[in-house]
Amino acid sequence: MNCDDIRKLLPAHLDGELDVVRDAEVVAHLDHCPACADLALAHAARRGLVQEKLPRHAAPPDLRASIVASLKNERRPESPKVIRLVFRQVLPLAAGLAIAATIGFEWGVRRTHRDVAVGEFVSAYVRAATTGHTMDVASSDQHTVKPWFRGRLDFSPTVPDLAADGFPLVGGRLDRIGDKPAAVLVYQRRKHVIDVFVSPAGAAAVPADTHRVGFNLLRWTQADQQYVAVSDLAASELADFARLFQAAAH
Amino acid sequence: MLPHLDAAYNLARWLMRNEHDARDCVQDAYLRAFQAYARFRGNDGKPWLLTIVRNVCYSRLRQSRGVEPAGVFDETIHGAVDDSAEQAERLRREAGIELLQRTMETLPEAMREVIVLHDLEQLSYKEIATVVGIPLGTVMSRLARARLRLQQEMLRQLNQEETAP
Repeated sequence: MNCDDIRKLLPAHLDGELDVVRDAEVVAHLDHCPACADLALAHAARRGLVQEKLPRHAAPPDLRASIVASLKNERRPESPKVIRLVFRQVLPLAAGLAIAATIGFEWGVRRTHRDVAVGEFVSAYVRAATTGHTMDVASSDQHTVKPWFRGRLDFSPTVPDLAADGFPLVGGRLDRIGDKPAAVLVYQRRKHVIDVFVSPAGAAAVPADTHRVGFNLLRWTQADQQYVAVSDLAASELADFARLFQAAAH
Repeated sequence: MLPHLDAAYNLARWLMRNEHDARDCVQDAYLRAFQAYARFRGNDGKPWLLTIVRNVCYSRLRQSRGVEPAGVFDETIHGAVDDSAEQAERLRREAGIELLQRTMETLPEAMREVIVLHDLEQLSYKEIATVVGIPLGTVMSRLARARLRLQQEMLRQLNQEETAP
Protein backbone atom coordinates (compact mmCIF):
# COMPACT_ATOMS: atom_id res chain seq x y z
CA MET A 1 0.00 0.00 0.00
CA ASN A 2 1.25 3.48 -0.79
CA CYS A 3 0.91 6.62 1.34
CA ASP A 4 -2.48 7.52 -0.14
CA ASP A 5 -3.92 4.12 0.69
CA ILE A 6 -2.53 4.26 4.19
CA ARG A 7 -3.88 7.75 4.80
CA LYS A 8 -7.39 6.67 3.89
CA LEU A 9 -7.17 3.95 6.52
CA LEU A 10 -5.75 6.09 9.33
CA PRO A 11 -9.10 6.97 10.94
CA ALA A 12 -10.18 3.33 10.91
CA HIS A 13 -6.80 2.32 12.31
CA LEU A 14 -7.14 4.77 15.21
CA ASP A 15 -10.75 3.83 15.83
CA GLY A 16 -9.83 0.15 16.01
CA GLU A 17 -12.00 -0.63 13.00
CA LEU A 18 -9.40 -2.33 10.80
CA ASP A 19 -8.92 -6.05 10.47
CA VAL A 20 -5.70 -7.42 11.95
CA VAL A 21 -3.92 -7.84 8.62
CA ARG A 22 -4.54 -4.36 7.27
CA ASP A 23 -3.91 -2.85 10.67
CA ALA A 24 -0.48 -4.50 10.77
CA GLU A 25 0.25 -3.04 7.32
CA VAL A 26 -0.66 0.44 8.54
CA VAL A 27 1.52 0.06 11.65
CA ALA A 28 4.46 -1.20 9.58
CA HIS A 29 4.11 1.72 7.18
CA LEU A 30 3.95 4.30 9.99
CA ASP A 31 7.17 2.86 11.36
CA HIS A 32 9.19 4.12 8.43
CA CYS A 33 7.09 6.98 7.00
CA PRO A 34 7.38 10.13 9.13
CA ALA A 35 4.90 12.09 6.97
CA CYS A 36 2.13 9.52 7.45
CA ALA A 37 3.05 9.10 11.11
CA ASP A 38 2.63 12.84 11.61
CA LEU A 39 -0.74 12.71 9.91
CA ALA A 40 -1.72 9.80 12.13
CA LEU A 41 -0.85 11.89 15.16
CA ALA A 42 -2.94 14.76 13.84
CA HIS A 43 -5.87 12.37 13.41
CA ALA A 44 -5.32 11.00 16.89
CA ALA A 45 -5.24 14.49 18.40
CA ARG A 46 -8.50 15.48 16.69
CA ARG A 47 -10.11 12.26 17.78
CA GLY A 48 -8.85 12.87 21.31
CA LEU A 49 -10.09 16.45 21.35
CA VAL A 50 -13.63 15.40 20.51
CA GLN A 51 -13.72 12.30 22.69
CA GLU A 52 -12.27 14.04 25.72
CA LYS A 53 -13.96 17.41 25.58
CA LEU A 54 -17.19 17.24 23.63
CA PRO A 55 -20.00 17.13 26.20
CA ARG A 56 -22.67 14.45 26.05
CA HIS A 57 -26.08 15.93 26.78
CA ALA A 58 -27.86 13.93 29.47
CA ALA A 59 -31.63 13.69 29.22
CA PRO A 60 -33.39 16.22 31.47
CA PRO A 61 -34.56 14.47 34.66
CA ASP A 62 -38.27 14.96 33.96
CA LEU A 63 -38.16 13.76 30.35
CA ARG A 64 -38.42 10.11 31.33
CA ALA A 65 -41.60 10.65 33.32
CA SER A 66 -43.17 12.73 30.61
CA ILE A 67 -42.47 10.08 27.95
CA VAL A 68 -43.86 7.33 30.15
CA ALA A 69 -46.98 9.44 30.72
CA SER A 70 -47.46 10.06 27.03
CA LEU A 71 -47.03 6.36 26.27
CA LYS A 72 -49.76 5.53 28.77
CA ASN A 73 -52.11 8.08 27.22
CA GLU A 74 -51.49 6.78 23.75
CA ARG A 75 -54.67 5.16 22.47
CA ARG A 76 -53.86 1.84 20.96
CA PRO A 77 -55.68 0.40 17.99
CA GLU A 78 -54.85 -3.11 19.22
CA SER A 79 -55.81 -4.58 22.56
CA PRO A 80 -54.27 -3.06 25.69
CA LYS A 81 -52.36 -6.31 26.06
CA VAL A 82 -49.97 -5.04 23.43
CA ILE A 83 -48.67 -2.36 25.75
CA ARG A 84 -48.09 -4.83 28.53
CA LEU A 85 -46.46 -7.25 26.11
CA VAL A 86 -44.20 -4.55 24.76
CA PHE A 87 -43.23 -3.40 28.22
CA ARG A 88 -42.66 -6.95 29.35
CA GLN A 89 -40.38 -7.56 26.40
CA VAL A 90 -38.62 -4.24 26.58
CA LEU A 91 -37.64 -4.74 30.17
CA PRO A 92 -35.56 -7.90 29.63
CA LEU A 93 -34.21 -6.39 26.43
CA ALA A 94 -33.00 -3.38 28.37
CA ALA A 95 -31.34 -5.59 30.94
CA GLY A 96 -29.59 -7.57 28.23
CA LEU A 97 -28.45 -4.44 26.49
CA ALA A 98 -27.14 -3.00 29.71
CA ILE A 99 -24.67 -5.85 29.77
CA ALA A 100 -24.04 -6.02 26.04
CA ALA A 101 -23.51 -2.33 25.55
CA THR A 102 -21.18 -1.80 28.49
CA ILE A 103 -19.29 0.65 26.33
CA GLY A 104 -22.25 2.96 26.04
CA PHE A 105 -22.98 2.74 29.72
CA GLU A 106 -19.36 3.06 30.66
CA TRP A 107 -19.35 6.42 28.98
CA GLY A 108 -22.42 7.00 30.97
CA VAL A 109 -24.24 10.07 31.93
CA ARG A 110 -21.39 12.51 31.89
CA ARG A 111 -17.67 12.83 31.26
CA THR A 112 -16.09 12.01 34.55
CA HIS A 113 -12.51 12.19 35.62
CA ARG A 114 -12.33 8.45 35.22
CA ASP A 115 -13.20 8.81 31.57
CA VAL A 116 -10.57 11.42 31.01
CA ALA A 117 -7.98 9.21 32.72
CA VAL A 118 -8.95 6.22 30.57
CA GLY A 119 -8.57 8.46 27.54
CA GLU A 120 -5.09 9.43 28.64
CA PHE A 121 -3.93 5.83 28.88
CA VAL A 122 -5.40 4.94 25.50
CA SER A 123 -3.96 8.11 23.94
CA ALA A 124 -0.52 7.31 25.31
CA TYR A 125 -0.79 3.82 23.85
CA VAL A 126 -1.94 5.09 20.46
CA ARG A 127 0.63 7.89 20.45
CA ALA A 128 3.42 5.38 21.04
CA ALA A 129 2.08 3.04 18.38
CA THR A 130 1.61 5.73 15.75
CA THR A 131 4.92 7.49 16.27
CA GLY A 132 6.81 4.22 16.45
CA HIS A 133 8.24 5.50 19.73
CA THR A 134 7.13 2.48 21.70
CA MET A 135 10.39 1.98 23.57
CA ASP A 136 13.24 3.94 25.13
CA VAL A 137 14.98 0.74 26.10
CA ALA A 138 14.59 -2.27 23.82
CA SER A 139 15.34 -5.49 25.59
CA SER A 140 13.69 -8.79 26.33
CA ASP A 141 15.74 -9.06 29.50
CA GLN A 142 13.94 -8.05 32.68
CA HIS A 143 17.33 -7.40 34.31
CA THR A 144 18.06 -4.75 31.69
CA VAL A 145 14.65 -3.10 31.64
CA LYS A 146 14.14 -2.84 35.40
CA PRO A 147 17.45 -1.08 36.21
CA TRP A 148 16.92 1.25 33.27
CA PHE A 149 14.12 3.00 35.18
CA ARG A 150 16.34 3.51 38.23
CA GLY A 151 17.32 7.17 38.52
CA ARG A 152 14.62 8.10 36.02
CA LEU A 153 11.72 7.55 38.40
CA ASP A 154 11.31 7.64 42.15
CA PHE A 155 9.71 4.21 42.20
CA SER A 156 10.75 0.86 40.84
CA PRO A 157 8.33 -1.18 38.72
CA THR A 158 8.13 -4.97 38.91
CA VAL A 159 9.18 -6.48 35.58
CA PRO A 160 8.23 -10.15 35.35
CA ASP A 161 9.47 -12.42 32.54
CA LEU A 162 6.42 -13.89 30.81
CA ALA A 163 8.07 -15.12 27.61
CA ALA A 164 7.35 -18.74 28.51
CA ASP A 165 3.65 -17.90 28.66
CA GLY A 166 3.67 -16.32 25.21
CA PHE A 167 3.96 -12.71 26.36
CA PRO A 168 7.59 -11.76 25.67
CA LEU A 169 8.95 -8.53 27.13
CA VAL A 170 10.20 -6.23 24.38
CA GLY A 171 11.26 -3.15 26.31
CA GLY A 172 10.21 -0.12 28.29
CA ARG A 173 9.81 3.61 28.05
CA LEU A 174 8.97 6.68 30.08
CA ASP A 175 5.61 8.28 29.41
CA ARG A 176 3.30 10.75 31.06
CA ILE A 177 -0.25 10.26 32.27
CA GLY A 178 -1.75 13.64 32.97
CA ASP A 179 1.13 15.51 34.58
CA LYS A 180 2.67 12.47 36.24
CA PRO A 181 5.52 10.36 34.89
CA ALA A 182 4.84 6.66 34.40
CA ALA A 183 7.03 3.68 33.64
CA VAL A 184 5.74 1.74 30.66
CA LEU A 185 6.62 -1.93 30.27
CA VAL A 186 6.08 -3.11 26.72
CA TYR A 187 5.06 -6.72 26.16
CA GLN A 188 4.01 -8.45 23.01
CA ARG A 189 1.46 -11.07 22.05
CA ARG A 190 1.74 -12.13 18.41
CA LYS A 191 1.42 -8.78 16.54
CA HIS A 192 -0.29 -7.04 19.45
CA VAL A 193 1.47 -4.72 21.82
CA ILE A 194 0.60 -4.53 25.50
CA ASP A 195 1.62 -1.39 27.38
CA VAL A 196 1.74 -1.72 31.16
CA PHE A 197 1.73 1.72 32.79
CA VAL A 198 3.22 1.67 36.28
CA SER A 199 2.82 4.54 38.69
CA PRO A 200 2.56 4.99 42.46
CA ALA A 201 -0.79 3.72 43.82
CA GLY A 202 -3.70 6.11 43.44
CA ALA A 203 -2.07 8.08 40.63
CA ALA A 204 -5.02 8.00 38.24
CA ALA A 205 -8.51 6.79 38.97
CA VAL A 206 -9.53 4.50 36.14
CA PRO A 207 -12.04 1.65 36.28
CA ALA A 208 -10.53 -1.76 37.02
CA ASP A 209 -11.77 -3.23 33.79
CA THR A 210 -12.89 -1.14 30.88
CA HIS A 211 -13.15 -1.07 27.13
CA ARG A 212 -12.80 1.82 24.77
CA VAL A 213 -13.27 1.51 21.02
CA GLY A 214 -10.83 -1.16 20.06
CA PHE A 215 -8.84 -1.09 23.28
CA ASN A 216 -9.08 -2.93 26.55
CA LEU A 217 -7.80 -1.62 29.83
CA LEU A 218 -7.16 -3.48 33.08
CA ARG A 219 -6.01 -1.93 36.34
CA TRP A 220 -4.64 -3.59 39.43
CA THR A 221 -2.55 -2.63 42.42
CA GLN A 222 0.37 -4.55 43.87
CA ALA A 223 3.16 -3.53 46.24
CA ASP A 224 1.77 0.02 46.50
CA GLN A 225 1.97 0.52 42.78
CA GLN A 226 -0.77 0.92 40.26
CA TYR A 227 -0.54 -1.16 37.09
CA VAL A 228 -2.68 -0.35 34.06
CA ALA A 229 -2.44 -2.69 31.09
CA VAL A 230 -3.65 -1.26 27.77
CA SER A 231 -3.89 -3.23 24.56
CA ASP A 232 -5.88 -3.87 21.42
CA LEU A 233 -5.75 -7.51 22.45
CA ALA A 234 -9.05 -9.30 23.12
CA ALA A 235 -10.31 -8.73 26.67
CA SER A 236 -9.95 -12.40 27.63
CA GLU A 237 -6.32 -12.55 26.52
CA LEU A 238 -5.50 -9.32 28.30
CA ALA A 239 -7.08 -10.78 31.44
CA ASP A 240 -4.84 -13.85 31.08
CA PHE A 241 -1.86 -11.56 30.77
CA ALA A 242 -2.79 -9.57 33.88
CA ARG A 243 -3.26 -12.78 35.88
CA LEU A 244 0.13 -14.16 34.80
CA PHE A 245 1.80 -10.81 35.45
CA GLN A 246 0.48 -10.63 39.01
CA ALA A 247 1.33 -14.25 39.74
CA ALA A 248 4.86 -13.92 38.39
CA ALA A 249 5.46 -10.70 40.30
CA HIS A 250 4.90 -12.33 43.65
CA MET B 1 -38.15 1.25 31.48
CA LEU B 2 -36.82 3.46 28.68
CA PRO B 3 -33.56 2.06 27.37
CA HIS B 4 -30.98 4.40 25.83
CA LEU B 5 -32.82 7.56 26.84
CA ASP B 6 -29.60 9.52 27.32
CA ALA B 7 -28.27 8.37 23.95
CA ALA B 8 -31.54 9.32 22.26
CA TYR B 9 -31.61 12.71 23.92
CA ASN B 10 -27.94 13.39 23.21
CA LEU B 11 -28.37 12.75 19.48
CA ALA B 12 -31.56 14.83 19.30
CA ARG B 13 -30.01 17.66 21.30
CA TRP B 14 -27.01 17.87 18.99
CA LEU B 15 -29.15 17.71 15.84
CA MET B 16 -31.84 20.16 16.99
CA ARG B 17 -29.42 22.42 18.92
CA ASN B 18 -31.95 23.30 21.59
CA GLU B 19 -33.56 21.52 24.50
CA HIS B 20 -37.16 22.19 23.56
CA ASP B 21 -37.04 20.61 20.11
CA ALA B 22 -34.81 17.81 21.35
CA ARG B 23 -37.38 16.85 24.00
CA ASP B 24 -40.20 16.86 21.47
CA CYS B 25 -38.25 14.70 19.06
CA VAL B 26 -37.24 12.17 21.71
CA GLN B 27 -40.79 11.92 22.96
CA ASP B 28 -42.06 11.39 19.44
CA ALA B 29 -39.32 8.87 18.70
CA TYR B 30 -40.17 6.71 21.74
CA LEU B 31 -43.81 6.76 20.75
CA ARG B 32 -42.90 5.51 17.29
CA ALA B 33 -40.43 3.03 18.71
CA PHE B 34 -43.06 1.46 20.94
CA GLN B 35 -45.54 1.28 18.10
CA ALA B 36 -42.95 -0.26 15.79
CA TYR B 37 -41.48 -2.56 18.40
CA ALA B 38 -43.46 -5.55 17.14
CA ARG B 39 -41.65 -5.24 13.83
CA PHE B 40 -38.22 -4.91 15.40
CA ARG B 41 -36.30 -8.12 14.78
CA GLY B 42 -32.78 -6.95 15.45
CA ASN B 43 -30.73 -7.78 18.50
CA ASP B 44 -29.32 -4.39 19.37
CA GLY B 45 -31.87 -1.77 20.23
CA LYS B 46 -29.53 1.20 20.42
CA PRO B 47 -28.81 1.73 16.70
CA TRP B 48 -32.44 0.90 15.98
CA LEU B 49 -33.72 3.52 18.40
CA LEU B 50 -31.19 6.12 17.24
CA THR B 51 -32.32 5.58 13.65
CA ILE B 52 -35.84 6.51 14.70
CA VAL B 53 -34.63 9.52 16.68
CA ARG B 54 -32.62 10.67 13.68
CA ASN B 55 -35.57 10.31 11.32
CA VAL B 56 -37.82 12.31 13.62
CA CYS B 57 -35.20 15.05 13.97
CA TYR B 58 -34.60 15.26 10.24
CA SER B 59 -38.25 15.54 9.41
CA ARG B 60 -38.61 18.36 11.95
CA LEU B 61 -35.61 20.14 10.49
CA ARG B 62 -37.04 19.69 7.02
CA GLN B 63 -40.39 21.17 8.11
CA SER B 64 -38.86 24.17 9.78
CA ARG B 65 -36.39 24.89 7.05
CA GLY B 66 -38.13 23.66 3.97
CA VAL B 67 -34.89 22.05 2.82
CA GLU B 68 -33.40 18.63 2.97
CA PRO B 69 -30.88 18.77 5.84
CA ALA B 70 -29.13 15.64 4.67
CA GLY B 71 -28.82 17.00 1.17
CA VAL B 72 -25.66 18.01 -0.57
CA PHE B 73 -23.31 19.62 1.84
CA ASP B 74 -19.88 21.03 1.39
CA GLU B 75 -17.38 18.44 2.46
CA THR B 76 -14.38 20.28 1.16
CA ILE B 77 -12.07 22.18 3.42
CA HIS B 78 -11.31 25.69 2.24
CA GLY B 79 -7.91 27.24 2.00
CA ALA B 80 -4.54 25.70 2.58
CA VAL B 81 -4.79 23.08 5.27
CA ASP B 82 -2.03 22.90 7.79
CA ASP B 83 -2.66 19.40 8.98
CA SER B 84 0.28 18.98 11.30
CA ALA B 85 0.23 16.86 14.40
CA GLU B 86 1.72 19.73 16.35
CA GLN B 87 -1.15 22.08 15.56
CA ALA B 88 -3.81 19.43 16.23
CA GLU B 89 -2.18 18.47 19.49
CA ARG B 90 -1.97 22.08 20.64
CA LEU B 91 -5.64 22.65 19.86
CA ARG B 92 -6.51 19.48 21.72
CA ARG B 93 -4.69 20.69 24.83
CA GLU B 94 -5.80 24.28 24.76
CA ALA B 95 -9.26 24.35 23.24
CA GLY B 96 -12.08 25.27 25.59
CA ILE B 97 -15.22 23.17 25.77
CA GLU B 98 -17.36 26.21 25.04
CA LEU B 99 -15.60 26.89 21.72
CA LEU B 100 -15.74 23.22 20.79
CA GLN B 101 -19.47 23.07 21.48
CA ARG B 102 -20.21 26.30 19.64
CA THR B 103 -18.19 25.27 16.59
CA MET B 104 -19.72 21.81 16.57
CA GLU B 105 -23.17 23.39 16.22
CA THR B 106 -22.07 25.19 13.05
CA LEU B 107 -21.12 21.96 11.27
CA PRO B 108 -23.59 20.49 8.77
CA GLU B 109 -25.90 17.87 10.38
CA ALA B 110 -24.36 15.14 8.27
CA MET B 111 -20.97 15.82 9.85
CA ARG B 112 -22.31 16.53 13.32
CA GLU B 113 -24.21 13.28 13.53
CA VAL B 114 -21.28 11.00 12.67
CA ILE B 115 -19.20 12.65 15.40
CA VAL B 116 -22.03 12.29 17.93
CA LEU B 117 -22.77 8.69 16.97
CA HIS B 118 -19.15 7.60 16.99
CA ASP B 119 -17.34 9.69 19.54
CA LEU B 120 -20.13 10.19 22.07
CA GLU B 121 -22.40 7.20 21.56
CA GLN B 122 -19.62 4.73 20.74
CA LEU B 123 -21.36 3.21 17.75
CA SER B 124 -19.18 1.20 15.39
CA TYR B 125 -18.71 2.29 11.76
CA LYS B 126 -21.06 -0.50 10.77
CA GLU B 127 -23.79 0.63 13.15
CA ILE B 128 -23.41 4.22 11.98
CA ALA B 129 -23.72 3.06 8.37
CA THR B 130 -27.07 1.50 9.30
CA VAL B 131 -28.35 4.46 11.28
CA VAL B 132 -27.39 7.10 8.70
CA GLY B 133 -27.96 4.89 5.66
CA ILE B 134 -24.59 5.38 3.98
CA PRO B 135 -21.83 2.94 2.96
CA LEU B 136 -19.19 1.91 5.49
CA GLY B 137 -16.39 3.66 3.58
CA THR B 138 -18.36 6.90 3.62
CA VAL B 139 -18.71 6.66 7.41
CA MET B 140 -14.92 6.53 7.73
CA SER B 141 -14.17 9.39 5.32
CA ARG B 142 -17.00 11.56 6.61
CA LEU B 143 -15.93 11.10 10.21
CA ALA B 144 -12.34 12.06 9.33
CA ARG B 145 -13.51 15.09 7.37
CA ALA B 146 -15.92 16.12 10.10
CA ARG B 147 -13.18 16.09 12.72
CA LEU B 148 -10.85 18.00 10.39
CA ARG B 149 -13.52 20.58 9.58
CA LEU B 150 -14.20 21.01 13.28
CA GLN B 151 -10.52 21.66 13.88
CA GLN B 152 -10.25 24.16 11.00
CA GLU B 153 -13.34 26.05 12.13
CA MET B 154 -12.09 26.22 15.70
CA LEU B 155 -8.74 27.57 14.54
CA ARG B 156 -10.50 30.12 12.37
CA GLN B 157 -12.59 31.28 15.34
CA LEU B 158 -9.51 31.50 17.53
CA ASN B 159 -7.67 33.57 14.93
CA GLN B 160 -10.63 35.90 14.58
CA GLU B 161 -10.84 36.38 18.31
CA GLU B 162 -7.15 37.13 18.46
CA THR B 163 -7.23 39.72 15.70
CA ALA B 164 -10.44 41.36 16.92
CA PRO B 165 -9.80 44.77 18.54
